[in-house]
Amino acid sequence: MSNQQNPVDSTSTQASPADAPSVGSATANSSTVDHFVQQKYKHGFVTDIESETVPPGLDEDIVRWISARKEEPQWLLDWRLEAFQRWLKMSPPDWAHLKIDPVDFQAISYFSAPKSDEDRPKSLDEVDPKLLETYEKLGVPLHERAKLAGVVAVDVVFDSVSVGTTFRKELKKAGVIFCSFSEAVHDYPDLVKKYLGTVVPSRDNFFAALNSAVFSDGSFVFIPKGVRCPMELSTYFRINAAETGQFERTLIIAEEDAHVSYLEGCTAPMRDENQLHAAVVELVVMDDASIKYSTVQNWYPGDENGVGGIYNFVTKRGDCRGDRSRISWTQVETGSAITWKYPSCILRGDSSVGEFYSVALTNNYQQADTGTKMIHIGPNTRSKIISKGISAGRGQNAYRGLVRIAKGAENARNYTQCDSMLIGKNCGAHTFPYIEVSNPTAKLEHEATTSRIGEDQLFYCLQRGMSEEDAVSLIVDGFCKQVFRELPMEFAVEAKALLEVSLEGAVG
Amino acid sequence: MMLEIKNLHATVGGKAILKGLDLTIEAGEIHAIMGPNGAGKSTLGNVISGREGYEVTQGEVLFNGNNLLELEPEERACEGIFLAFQYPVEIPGVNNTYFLRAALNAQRKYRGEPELDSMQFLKLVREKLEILHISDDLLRRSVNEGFSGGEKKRNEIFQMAVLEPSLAILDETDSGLDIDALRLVARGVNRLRSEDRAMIVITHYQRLLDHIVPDRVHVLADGKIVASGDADLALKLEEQGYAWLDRGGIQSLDIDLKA
Amino acid sequence: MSALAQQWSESLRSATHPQVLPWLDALRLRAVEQLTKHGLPHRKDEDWKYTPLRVLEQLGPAVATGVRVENLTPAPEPELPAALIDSADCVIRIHDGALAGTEGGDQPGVSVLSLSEGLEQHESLLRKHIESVDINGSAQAFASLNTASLDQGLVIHVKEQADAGTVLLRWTLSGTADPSIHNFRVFLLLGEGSRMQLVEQYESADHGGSALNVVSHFDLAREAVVDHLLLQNESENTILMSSTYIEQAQGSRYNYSGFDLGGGLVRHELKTVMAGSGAHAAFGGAFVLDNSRHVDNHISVEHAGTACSSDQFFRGVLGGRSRGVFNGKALIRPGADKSSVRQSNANLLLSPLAQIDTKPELEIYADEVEASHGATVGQLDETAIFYLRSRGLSETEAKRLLVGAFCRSVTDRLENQELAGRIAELIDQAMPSYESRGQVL
Repeated sequence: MSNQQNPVDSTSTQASPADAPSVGSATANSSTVDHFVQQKYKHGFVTDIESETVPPGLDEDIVRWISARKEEPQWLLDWRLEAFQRWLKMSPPDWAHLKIDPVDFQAISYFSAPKSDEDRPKSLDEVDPKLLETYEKLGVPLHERAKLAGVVAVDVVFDSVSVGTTFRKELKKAGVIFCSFSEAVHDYPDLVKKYLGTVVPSRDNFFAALNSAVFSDGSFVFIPKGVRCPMELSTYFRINAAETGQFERTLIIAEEDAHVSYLEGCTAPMRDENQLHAAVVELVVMDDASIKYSTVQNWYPGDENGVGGIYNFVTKRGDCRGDRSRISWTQVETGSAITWKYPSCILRGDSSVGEFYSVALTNNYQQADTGTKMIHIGPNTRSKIISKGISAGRGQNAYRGLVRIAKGAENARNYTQCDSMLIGKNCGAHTFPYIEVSNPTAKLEHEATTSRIGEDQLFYCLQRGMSEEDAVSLIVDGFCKQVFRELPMEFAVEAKALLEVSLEGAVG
Repeated sequence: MMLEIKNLHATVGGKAILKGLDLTIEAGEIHAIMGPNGAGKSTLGNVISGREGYEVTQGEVLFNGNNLLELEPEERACEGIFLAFQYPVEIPGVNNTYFLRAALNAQRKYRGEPELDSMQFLKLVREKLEILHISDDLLRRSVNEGFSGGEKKRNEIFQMAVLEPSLAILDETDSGLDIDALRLVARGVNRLRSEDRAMIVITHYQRLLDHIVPDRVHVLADGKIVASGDADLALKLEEQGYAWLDRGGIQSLDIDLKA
Repeated sequence: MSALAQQWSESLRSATHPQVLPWLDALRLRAVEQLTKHGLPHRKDEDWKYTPLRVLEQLGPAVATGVRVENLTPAPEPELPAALIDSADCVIRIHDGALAGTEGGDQPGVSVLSLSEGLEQHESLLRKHIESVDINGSAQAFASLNTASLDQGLVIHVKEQADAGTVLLRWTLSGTADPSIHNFRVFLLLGEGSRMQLVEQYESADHGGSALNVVSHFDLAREAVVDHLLLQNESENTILMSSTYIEQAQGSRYNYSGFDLGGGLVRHELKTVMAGSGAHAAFGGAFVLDNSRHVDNHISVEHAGTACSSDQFFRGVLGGRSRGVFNGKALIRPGADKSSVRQSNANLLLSPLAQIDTKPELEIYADEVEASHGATVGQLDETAIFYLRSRGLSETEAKRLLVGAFCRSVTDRLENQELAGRIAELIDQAMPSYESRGQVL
């Protein structure tokens, strides 16, 4: 298999080489890898299996080691190994509208325990002042800043732990399971076994296979029948549980008539040394149940010259198995050097509903290829896609989305609106919608516009005395309103602030 | 007897709307159907013209002695039934003239009359436009596309003038019109009054009936005709509204019932 | 499928051609090698994912080359719309991929040439265009094949400021027991300020199941204007692959209107590059299909110069088991400011077995841009059908009228009203059988 599965189709596709150079095969000498490796060494990273850190590289032994280290049952090790075998035969996808320096997958260390005290900065004084400046602007509380910057070990963080404990109690009372993936493997193995990989099989794509082989940890949520989760669940409080960033795996199950709103991410940029992130999220929704999944992604985007930054390759998919089930994805993507992400819905149940609301911003040298897939299989299924792309600096921002109406999807409906805004001369905005319809009762509407930020709007604001940056923020905020109002309240406020910070330097 | 409706029951989406409606109309008469919102006024027009989704569950509708309910919408049209829509449909890309000629020729063919060629048709159309004082730029436009509310309603009346139906149902033809537009429409309708044509004027307000004076006025409430009278009934309704329906029915209304 | 490409390659490897030019011989050989190496397009080629090529298996292993006019058995004339013939100043017939006769075309400043003559008079220009075509990779197999067998073609040269009037190309294929693939190359070279209306008609009287693989080049110098009308009404076992490359200089205008009312497997690739500023390109089209027909329109517009505008406007009506594909791309190069791009594709699905795949793409690298696209898939409006029926039209007539109106937005874009009316009638005749309340009539 020379090629990778397109997120928008089961058949692989090849973008023209000029557009999207392949992630390519292992090239140990690439500058990215050098950078990556140097970073590790700069911080005096010691590779020593005894001290629970594996040397760079990936083979079957590493997979076994990770599984053993996490004391996993045999079936899970087998599952990982099978994924690993598949991964070996796959190549990174090359169809996305992304220029990516080749990643040397053998130069990455696939397991690192929480950093010891010697590794982390001793105080905020040792932290990159620019990062601190950003926290200031975002209004991140002081103690949170320390946590985010990695100054203190997360397990001694004051507030989060206590908050975590109290709300766990409350959840338990309601019958909701919310724990780390590792805990779930030990405490609820039957549930994990029943659902793991049923939405995103390990063969799905290169990064899903990689994740399946080496996933470190993640979240597990189970909402039993008839339960409305009494609070919004947030990884913000759980991120302390383990250093899970690199190969996170999340599984959320909503049984019949169960409802949950799940918040992922954090509006403040995380100090993170992992170059490559490949997460997998699986949602399963039964009859009359709903999952609302909100993400704010603000990994390190690299500096203004495009140096550094996270490669974020995420496979998120929800399966509306039940009748009248509902999945709503909302994402605000402002971080990462590379974003490759297509939160999707398989609309299987009669009258099931899928929604995708997205704001993606690329500034400086950031690149994003993001969108969704709405696969209508059941009758009376409905989907809605609202995508807002903002490109500034030298950012490249692509929407890629598939709406497929299968033969049996009687009376399916889709509405897609996909707007792009350009701020500056050197950025790019791209739209790649795929619409495939095999049922004559379907009704689909797709609209898209691309234009630069409104000159007359800008002038109007300036004339009323606003600074250009404020005016741009105001207009961009208005542009994104449709998506922001899908976010939980406090998240929406933060997202707005985040957009302002991310747009800094985009004007003028 | 032109139209005879007996004990008509009809449902829309499973919901009973008409619940035993009786109505008889002679040629040459104008009947006004009034009543509060949701009474079933528009449903009556749609049932008579055969709109899909309106299911007759009981009763019969005879038109010139024939069972109307067995006919397809176009057959009813060819039999001489015309519905002036409350919300005339916009059909972009279909030229008004072309549309009307296709409709007229379909009806003529049904009646065994020769079809009109475009010259003959244009001549007829121009006559009608003149009678109704409508500008002929209407002819060049697509059916109702981009028309104002008033233009749409006038286009309905213009179509009626060309198709010359024997029974015209005007469904809320006055809604959304200012007083000048209302006069224009009413003038058109009055010109089309004739001895062999009957009309059902469905309206919520009395004001249209100042301009189109009906022979009979019926009050439709909860799917049935609850009162009938002459044109004065409409005036009484205007004064007293429809609240009496809740107060205990027709007896509380201060009118002479001639029904 | 790859076996077929190998057979074609074999057939071409030893072929002889009337034109002996070292660069062309070398290029043909290179194209043969590419075809051998990559084979035919497959579903993994992004540009071919919606167009399977299984029906090519009906084609024979040989690709005809060399002089073929003497082999010609003229096909019976299909009945042409009078408006098409009457308005033509020049009629050129191409039968089974070979020039089969020219009438007219003698206006001042206009020369109609065979490929051999064209290569003698305009070698460097033709060479530039031939060499500009990408023949590398499986997705480009039909360009490779056309180049590999390149010896039949037509060159029309229009001098600056000259008006070529209406040129009619009539494409026919003969009915034959063993269908094969025919290749042909067209060059339309338009000097500064010149004009041409090109009408292409694809309609064969016989239904032999052959394939036609046409590559056309339009070279529009400054201010040149081309109206390009294509009317395709082939039989259900005919295969048509057409690739059109357009190069537009400053202020030129290219206006395409394509009507696909027939054919078995039909693919139109149209690519324009607007290198000069202030150029305009419009691509309008309608495909009205029934049975198992498959029509794929691939449009690609590149804005390289400033202040260029482009418009893509397609309407699809799918009945029977037919399948329609629309893939419209617009690329705005960095610095191509004041660009304006519109894409619109609306489709009606009239049958439970019909399918539509649509993909309007925008790729934008300049900020002073107005771009929008829209795509819809749906059915005829029930309210409109009832409205028409309430006026006395039958259900079938009502649907016919509404489908006609749906396509009229494309025919209305034609300047020649008489032609537009005639095409509207042809569309009417091509209407697929209607489904009524879920049943196919």
